[in-house]
Amino acid sequence: MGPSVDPAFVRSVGRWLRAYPRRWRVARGAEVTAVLADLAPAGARRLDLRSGLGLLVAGWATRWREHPPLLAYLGYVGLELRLDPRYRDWARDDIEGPWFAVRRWLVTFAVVGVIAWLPALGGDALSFDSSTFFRAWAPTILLGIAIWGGHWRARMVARQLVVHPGETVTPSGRIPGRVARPRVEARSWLAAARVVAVSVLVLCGVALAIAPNRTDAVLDGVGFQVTSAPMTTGTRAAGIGLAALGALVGLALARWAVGPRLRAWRPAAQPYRWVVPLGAPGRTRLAAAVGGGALLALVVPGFAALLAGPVAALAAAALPVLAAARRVVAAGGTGAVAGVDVVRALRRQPDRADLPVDGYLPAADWLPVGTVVPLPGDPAPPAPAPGTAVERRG
Amino acid sequence: MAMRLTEQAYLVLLALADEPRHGYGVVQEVRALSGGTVRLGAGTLYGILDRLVGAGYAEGSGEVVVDGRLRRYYRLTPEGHDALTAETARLAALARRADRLLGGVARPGIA
Repeated sequence: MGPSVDPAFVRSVGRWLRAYPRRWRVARGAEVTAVLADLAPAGARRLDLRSGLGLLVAGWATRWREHPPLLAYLGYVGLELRLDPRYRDWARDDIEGPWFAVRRWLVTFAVVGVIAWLPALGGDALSFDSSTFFRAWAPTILLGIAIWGGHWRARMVARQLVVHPGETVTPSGRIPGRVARPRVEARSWLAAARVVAVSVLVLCGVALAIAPNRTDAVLDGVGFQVTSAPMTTGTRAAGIGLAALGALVGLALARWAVGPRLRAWRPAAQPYRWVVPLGAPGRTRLAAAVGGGALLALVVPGFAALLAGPVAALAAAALPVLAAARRVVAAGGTGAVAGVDVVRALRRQPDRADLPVDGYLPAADWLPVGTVVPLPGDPAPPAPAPGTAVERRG
Repeated sequence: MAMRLTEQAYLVLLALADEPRHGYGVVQEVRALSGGTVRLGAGTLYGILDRLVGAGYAEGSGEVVVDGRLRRYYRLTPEGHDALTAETARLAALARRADRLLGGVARPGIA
């Protein structure tokens, strides 16, 4: 038998395996990698082109084989119609994929666009106002993805993945239930927070540097009036100074407060917590939030210039704190395992035990894969394995 | 759910006939059964295995990790055995008919 597989070879195979659906990769990736390592010459660090192309073709053939027919797909995408249960695994891949929320919004946007252009059928001139699109629609779409992406996903899980009476249980099938509360794992959370802080700092810097005016408020005898004031050199310098001050405060906190507070963190028992990575859907929502915020700043530059100084100070203070926290977490110097733990530790708040929340459990925790969900009036299924999913995840 | 057995799928089923095998074992056995003419790549092999498992002709029969490499074994199901037997009988009948035909026909010469 050969030695274990070279990590470089594993990465090379992993890139080619992306042709397969995610669920397939999770289930079979390690097995296929081992076979490819057996077939490859000793010491190979990359998959040869021929084998890679073979995976590419076979992967896309697998995707094609599992994809619902066009009409069913259009109904699923456009009207959220329930797919035949034999496409449940495909639907799960789609719902848990990075593009689900993006596509969901684009479909809504397309429907609104069609309605807006209906007058063209009556002979009116067809027009597309790109300015309106970028000023109104694009930030709305992106912020909608960031805010409601999780809600849409949960709704589609309920519609597409929950098994109904008379259907066969598959690994992707779900049943409603009380589940452990998902919390983003500390490293993922810190990385996401750093992306947000860097993006905000850059945006504020740009706003301070080039915005010609800023929103201002004037109190006169009549009342409160919102006006616009030119950005002077002094205003810009004050904003930058505020950011520098924030950075100094952040450095001081990172130097003297972050380490001791994280090391002093005493976690409570969390039987109903499920620590999860940010994952592809989370990254999509994060990117949408950053992009939406940037576009919003372009839409209301005066307001962005007004807030740029204080917000830049907060972001500049956060960056050294996040970096210090990341070092402590990476070194294993704290009991904080979730992002919320890090926040509570830094704020010196005590830990609180999470409570179970409404969610969805694998149907296979209730009935074995391959069995048919009983119809109303049928005999009750046998008792499930000891321990609920909530307990196991705890 | 019946599936059409291509030559490669037939050879994979045949490789599983005597004992459960893991992916690399199937590749080696198919090469030996075909006299070295059929060399399955991993993409082709797992496409075939997916379809055989989906048709109920084969199933997983356990996995082991050897030197850090995951080996999942596959074995023939009774339905797979029946399909293999039927396909072998069909091929054998075809070979007999071909033999009869070739036995009564002279090799064409060069005009």
